[in-house]
Amino acid sequence: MSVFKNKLIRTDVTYLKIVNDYILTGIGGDLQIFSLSNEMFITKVKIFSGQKIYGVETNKSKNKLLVYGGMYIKVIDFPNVNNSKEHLMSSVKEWILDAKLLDNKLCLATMNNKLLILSSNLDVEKEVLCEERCILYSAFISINKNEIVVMSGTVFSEVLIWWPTKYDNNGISPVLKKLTGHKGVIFSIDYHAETGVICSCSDDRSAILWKLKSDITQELKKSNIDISILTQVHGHSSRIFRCKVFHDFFITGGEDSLVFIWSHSGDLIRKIEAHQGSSIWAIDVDEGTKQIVIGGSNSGLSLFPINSDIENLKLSLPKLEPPNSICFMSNNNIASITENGNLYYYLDKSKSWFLVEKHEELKYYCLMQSSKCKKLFALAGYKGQIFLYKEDSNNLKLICKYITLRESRIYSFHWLTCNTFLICQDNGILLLLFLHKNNINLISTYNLPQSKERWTTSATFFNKELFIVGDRKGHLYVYSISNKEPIQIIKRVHNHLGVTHLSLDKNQLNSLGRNGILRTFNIQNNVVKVAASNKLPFLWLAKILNNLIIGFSGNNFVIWDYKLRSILFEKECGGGHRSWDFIKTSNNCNVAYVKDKIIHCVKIDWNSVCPKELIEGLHVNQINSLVAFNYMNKKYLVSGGEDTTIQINELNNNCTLIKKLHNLKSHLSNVRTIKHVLWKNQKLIFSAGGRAQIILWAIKNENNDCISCNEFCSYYESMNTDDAEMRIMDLYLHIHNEKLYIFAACSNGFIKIFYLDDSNKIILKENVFYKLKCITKIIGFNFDKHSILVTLATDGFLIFWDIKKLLEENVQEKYPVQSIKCHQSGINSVDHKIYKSNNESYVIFLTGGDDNLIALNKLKITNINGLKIDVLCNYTNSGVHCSQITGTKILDNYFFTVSIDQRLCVFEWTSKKLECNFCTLYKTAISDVQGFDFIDNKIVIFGNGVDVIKCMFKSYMCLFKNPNYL
Amino acid sequence: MGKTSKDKRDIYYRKAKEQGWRARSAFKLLQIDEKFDIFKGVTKAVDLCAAPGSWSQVLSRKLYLGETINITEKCTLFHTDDIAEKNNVGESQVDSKKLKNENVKIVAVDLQPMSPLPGVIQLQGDITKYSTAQEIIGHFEGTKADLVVCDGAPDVTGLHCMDIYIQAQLLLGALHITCHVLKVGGTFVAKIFRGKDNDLLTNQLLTLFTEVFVVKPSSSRNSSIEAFVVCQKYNPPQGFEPKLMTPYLNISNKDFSSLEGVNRVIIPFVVCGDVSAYDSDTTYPLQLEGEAPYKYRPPVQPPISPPYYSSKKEDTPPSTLSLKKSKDQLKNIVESFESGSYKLKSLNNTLDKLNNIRKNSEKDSVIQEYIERLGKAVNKITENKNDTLEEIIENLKALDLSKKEDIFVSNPMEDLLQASEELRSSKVEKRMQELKNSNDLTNLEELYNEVNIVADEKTFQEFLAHIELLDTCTC
Repeated sequence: MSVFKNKLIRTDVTYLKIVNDYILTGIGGDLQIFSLSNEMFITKVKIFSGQKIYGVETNKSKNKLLVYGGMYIKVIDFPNVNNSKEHLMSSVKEWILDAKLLDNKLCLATMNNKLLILSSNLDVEKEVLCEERCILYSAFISINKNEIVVMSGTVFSEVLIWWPTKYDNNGISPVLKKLTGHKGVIFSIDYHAETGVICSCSDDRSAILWKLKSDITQELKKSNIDISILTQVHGHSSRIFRCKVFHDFFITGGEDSLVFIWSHSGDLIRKIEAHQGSSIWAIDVDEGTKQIVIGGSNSGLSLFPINSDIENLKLSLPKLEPPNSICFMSNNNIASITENGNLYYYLDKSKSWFLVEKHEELKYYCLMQSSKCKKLFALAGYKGQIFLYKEDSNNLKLICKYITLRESRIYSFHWLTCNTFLICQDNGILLLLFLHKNNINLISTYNLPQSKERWTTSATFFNKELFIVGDRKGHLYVYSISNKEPIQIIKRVHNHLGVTHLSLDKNQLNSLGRNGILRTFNIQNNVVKVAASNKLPFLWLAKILNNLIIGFSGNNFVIWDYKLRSILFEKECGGGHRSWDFIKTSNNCNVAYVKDKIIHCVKIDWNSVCPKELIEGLHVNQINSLVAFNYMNKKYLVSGGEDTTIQINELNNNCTLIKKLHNLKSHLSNVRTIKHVLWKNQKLIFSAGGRAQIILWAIKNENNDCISCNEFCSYYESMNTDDAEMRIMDLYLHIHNEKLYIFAACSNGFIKIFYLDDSNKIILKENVFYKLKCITKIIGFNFDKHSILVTLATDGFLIFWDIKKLLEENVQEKYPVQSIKCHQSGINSVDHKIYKSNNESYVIFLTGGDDNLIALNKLKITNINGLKIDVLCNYTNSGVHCSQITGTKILDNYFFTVSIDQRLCVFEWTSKKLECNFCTLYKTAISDVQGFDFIDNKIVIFGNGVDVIKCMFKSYMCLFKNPNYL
Repeated sequence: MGKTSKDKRDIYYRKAKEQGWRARSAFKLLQIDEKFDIFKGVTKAVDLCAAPGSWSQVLSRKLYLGETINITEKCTLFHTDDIAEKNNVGESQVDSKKLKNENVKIVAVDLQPMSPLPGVIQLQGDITKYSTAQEIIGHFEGTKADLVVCDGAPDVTGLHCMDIYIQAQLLLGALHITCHVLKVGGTFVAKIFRGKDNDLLTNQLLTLFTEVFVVKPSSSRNSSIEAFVVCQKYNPPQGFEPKLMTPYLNISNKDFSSLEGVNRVIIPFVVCGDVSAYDSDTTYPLQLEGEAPYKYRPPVQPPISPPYYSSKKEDTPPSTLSLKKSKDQLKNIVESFESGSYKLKSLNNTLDKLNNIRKNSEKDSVIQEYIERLGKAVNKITENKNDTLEEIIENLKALDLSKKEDIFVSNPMEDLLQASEELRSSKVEKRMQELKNSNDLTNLEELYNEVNIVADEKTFQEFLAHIELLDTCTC
C-alpha cells in the first residue's frame, strides 16, 4: 500500500488499440478503457508506476492482455482488468518495441535487435540476436503457425527482416532481406498478412508500402526474396511516428499532429488535423464501424469516421448566367442574384433553378443578405432600394419594397433580428429599419464617425437599448437606440482590413477580423470592455457559429473548431473575395460559393467530419507553470506553457476528472509563470513569460455553473530590432499601502517593478539591475515589519532586497542587502517558511537547483543599523535526485521536492538543527516535470502533462518511522 | 522572427559564430577542459558522434594546430573581430608546418558526413553498430588513445523516457569502443541525459574509471536535461574483456535496490565555466561592452543533407510543368487584355502571375511572343511605348485602380456617384419639404439631425416589443 494514490493523469497518449468494442489506451502508467459504441469511459487500471505504457496485446481468445512499457511487461485478465489481484509482472532489461501474446508463451522484440521468448510465467526461455547489432526505433513481430518473423527498423533507414525461429545459429540469426528506400530513422513498421503488405514510416516524412509476392514465411524461403515498393507517400510536414496497414487502406500519424488515411495505391482518402499540433503516437482503426481513434501527446483522445461524407456540387444558372451573390434559404435551397439583376431560386428537392424576378434596377450593384433564420433575404441597391423576399413552402415571395429617403447607395446591410436591420449609406448615415406587417418602418438614424472608408461591415444588437457596429477600418462603435452618435468608441479592435463579424454569445460579444484575431468583450452597465483575444492559425475570419469559426486560409475555405483548436474542414475555393454562404443544422453543414462564375455547393455530413472527444486535450507542449486553488467552492487549475496558451480547468471534487473551461491564446510567446491573488474582492491571475509580456486576468463567477476569465491588461514593451529578447521568468505580488506591486524577474538580470493602477492597468515603476545573470525565481515575505524580496539567479545565490528601499523614489542606485551562495549554478525552485520558537522568529529557505542539490537554510534576520541576515545552520542533499530540481514546497515538519528525473521526494525536518530525514518517493510518469502545487491533500505534479495524487497524510509518521517500509 | 532572433536568444550561439565554431557545443568541451584539463599530454583522440564537428574542431585546433584557446580570461573568449580573424587565419593556414603537430591523431565518427577538418580522420558509421567499433579499433592498431569524447545525441522524439534510454545506449556504444581504444589512465567524456533512472547508469561507470563526475558547463542550458560525464583514470577490472562490455554494463543487469534513496554512491555533480563567464539562460544585449559593433553572421556549417530533403523537393513541382502553366496563364492574360475584357479588380493577381512568369521565362520563344502581344495591348491602354515585361508590369501598376480589394472601390458606377451627389442633396431637401407639407412625419427636419427617434410611437413600441425577443426567430 503506497502512501500516494493516483487520482488523475493527463499526459502523452502512447498507445491505442481497439479490441472488440473496447478502446484500450495507455496514458502514463494507466491503462484506460473506453467503449467504442457508447463513446464512454469504462474503467482504468494502474499497470506501472512511473513508466508509460507503450503497447498492449491480446491473446487469441482475448481473455488476457499483455501490457508493456519501457523494459517492463505485465499480463492481466481481460475484459475484467480489475479482476485479477495478482498480476504477473517482469522486467526484461531491454527496451521493448513490440510484443505478442500466445497461449503458452510471449515474444518480445527489443531495441537491441533481439527477440526474447518468455514462458507464461514471464521467465526468459530463449534469446535470439539478429546478426546486425544496432539500435532500433521500431520492430514488428509476425507470427504464423509458430513461425516468428521479425521486421526491425534501424536508425540507418533500413527495415531488416529476419527469421529467428528458423535461422538461428547459436542464438544469432541472419538478416534475410533489407528493405531500402527510406532516408531516415524508421519509426514504425506494420504488416498485414492477409494482403501481404508491409508498411513503414520514417524521419524522412514519407511512408512506404512494400508488397510481398507471397506469404512472408513462403517468401523468405526463396533464394530470391521479392519485396518491392508498392507506393511511397509524402504529405506530412514533419516526422511520421506511427503507421498501420489495414485491408483497404493504411494510416500515418506524425509529429505535425496530422493523420492521413491512404489507399493501398497511395491516394489520399482523408486528412485529419487531430490534436492541436501535438505529436501523434497512438492510432488505431475499427474496420467494422470504419472509425479511427487518435491519441495526441496533449493527452487528447478522439474518434473520427474513416470516410468523410462530403458531396461537391456545381450548380450553374440557366444559360450560364454569371451569379453576383448567393445565399442559402431553408431546406438547402439557394437564392442567387445575377450580374444582370435576375433573381433565381434553386430548389434542392427538384435540383432545378427558377427565375423569380428581373430586377433591372439591381443590374450593376446589388447587396444580398439573408436573415439568421434563412427565411428572409434582402436585396439592396445603388439608389437606396430594398427588396425583401420571404421563402414560404418552397416559394419565394416579394413581401416588401422600400426606398430610403436619400435614394443613395446602400453600402452595407446587416440583419439584426428577423424583423430589424441596419443599413449604411453614404456619409456614414446608418438607418435602423423595422419590418412590421410587411411594411418597413424607419426607427431611427445614426451617424458613423468620419473615416477614410466610412461604412459599416458588421452589426449586432446587444440588448434592447444597445447595438454595436464594426466598420471597415477595424473600429467598434456602441450605439444606444436613442442616441444619434455612438456612446462608446473602441478603436482598432481589428486591423485596417476591418471588422468582419460581430455576434453575441450569452453576455459576451465576439468580434472577428481579417487579422486572425477573435476578440471577446464583456458588457457591463452598457460599457463594452475587452475580455480576451485569441489568435487563430489563419487570418481571414468571417463568421462565428457556436464553437465554429468560418474563415479563409489563403485560397481555402476553412471551418475551424474553437474548442478543439483544429481545422475540421478545408476546401479550396479561391479565397475570401467572393460571395459565399454557410448553413449548419445539427447533422449537416453546407457551404456555397461563387467561383469562375459558377455556384459551388459542398454538402458535408457533419458527423463524418466532426470528432468525438473521449478525452479533452491539455497543453500541446510542456506546462511551465500551474496554480491550483479553491474558489467559490470549486477547484481550479490554471496552467500556462510552451504552447503560449493559458488554460483554466475545473477539477471535480474527487480530483478524478478535469474539465476545460477556457483555453486562452493571448500571449505572444511562452508562458513561464502564473500567480494569483485576491485583490479588492476580485480573483486576479497574472501570467508572464517570453517577449517580456505580462497579462492580467480576472476570474469571475458569473452564474453558478461556470466561471469567466477576462483579460484586464496586457503589458508588453515593443522592442526595437537590436534589443535582445527578454523573458520574464517569475513574478512576485506584493501588497503595500493598499497598493498592489508586481516584481518581475527578468532573464537579462533586471527586476522590473510595476504597480496596478485603479483602472487595473499594469504600470512600470522602475527597473532595478542585479547583474548580467538570468534571474530565475523571485519571492518575498514579511518579517517583523520588514518586507523582504528574494531573487535567485543562474549564479546560485540567494539575494535579499529590502522592499521598502526598492520602492523608494528618487534613489539612483539600488543594492541588495545580502547574498548567500547555496548552489553551484542556477536555482530553479524555492519556498520558505517562517516559524517562531522562544519568541524568536526564523526563516527557513528551501531551494532546489540545476546541480541536483536540495538546500535548506535556517536564517535569522536582525535590524540593527540596517537589515542583516545570518545563516544559522543548513542542510544539503544531492543524492535523492539525479536531475535538476524544479519544484520545492515546505510545510510544517515535511518538505517535498520534484525533479526532471520524475521523482517526488518527501523529507521530514526538525526546526532546531535542521535535521532532515528522507521519507519516501513517488515516481510519476510525467516527463519534464516543472513543479507541483498542493490543493487540499492532493498534489498536482505538472510538466509534460499533469499527475494528480492524493497523499494519505495522517498515517504518515508511523509509516515512515518504520525503516522496513522503505 | 528575424535572422538575428537566435543571436538574441542565446549568447553562445552568437559567440560560436563569431569565433568560427561549427556549433555552440564547442564551448561545452572548452569549459570542461578548463575545469578538468582533459587535453593535457593528449596526442591521440577519438570523437564519437562528431557531426557537425564542433568537438572535432576543438580537438583539431587544440591538439593538431596547437592553438591555445584561453577561455579563463573573459576578454579573449568573448572577443573582438581581430581574434576571430586570427583564428580563421590559423585554420586556413594548415599547410604551415610550424602549426601542425604531426604526431597527433584524431579520429572522428558520425552517421552524417561532415566537412573536413585539419588533422582529423573521418569515418562514417553508427557507433552502436559492432562493425563500426571494429573499424575504429582498426585505426588504433597497436596504439591506444589518450582521450575519447562523445557529444552524440539521438534525434529526440519527445517521448523522454525513450530518448533517455537511447542516449544511454549511445553512451554504452561509445563506452564499448572506448574500452577497446583507451589506454589505462585515459579520459572519457560523454554526453548524458539527466532524467529518469539515469543515476543507475552513471554509477556503473565507477567500475571502469577511478574518478567519475557529472558535469554541467555553463554553456549548456539550465533547462536542458543534457549533462556530461567526465571519467578519468581508466582502470578496468582485472581480466576485463571489452567484448562482453554490453551485457556487463547493461543498466538493469545488477541488483540496484541499494541505489535507491540516500544510500547509494553519489557521483559528484560539478558545474564548470568561470563564474564570470556567460551562461546560456541569461538574455544578453547584442552589443556587449568592450566589443566590436555587433553584426549578423550566417551559421558556420549548415546541415549537409537532412533526411527530409527528398520530401521537401516534392513540394515544388518540376520546372517543365510550371513553364507550361506559365504559358497558359500568360495566354489568358494576353487574351483578356487584347479583348479588352480584363478586370482591374484582379490586377494584383495578374501582377503576381506576371512576376512568376518573369522568373521562369528566360528565353522561351512562345513566352517572348506573348510578352510582345501583352506589351502592345497594355500600351494601347496606357498609350506608352514600352515592351519589356518589367515595363509592362510597371504600366499595369500605374493602372492600378483597385488598390483595395473591396467591391465598393471597383464599382463600375464610381463616377456616376460623383455626378449625382449634388442632384441628390437638392432632391432630399425637396422630398423632405413634400413630406413636411403632407404631415407624413412630424419631425422630419430632425430626421438627419439631432433627435433620433423617427418612428411613430406605436411602431416604436412594437419595435421594442420585437427586439425584446432578440435572437428568437419570429418569422
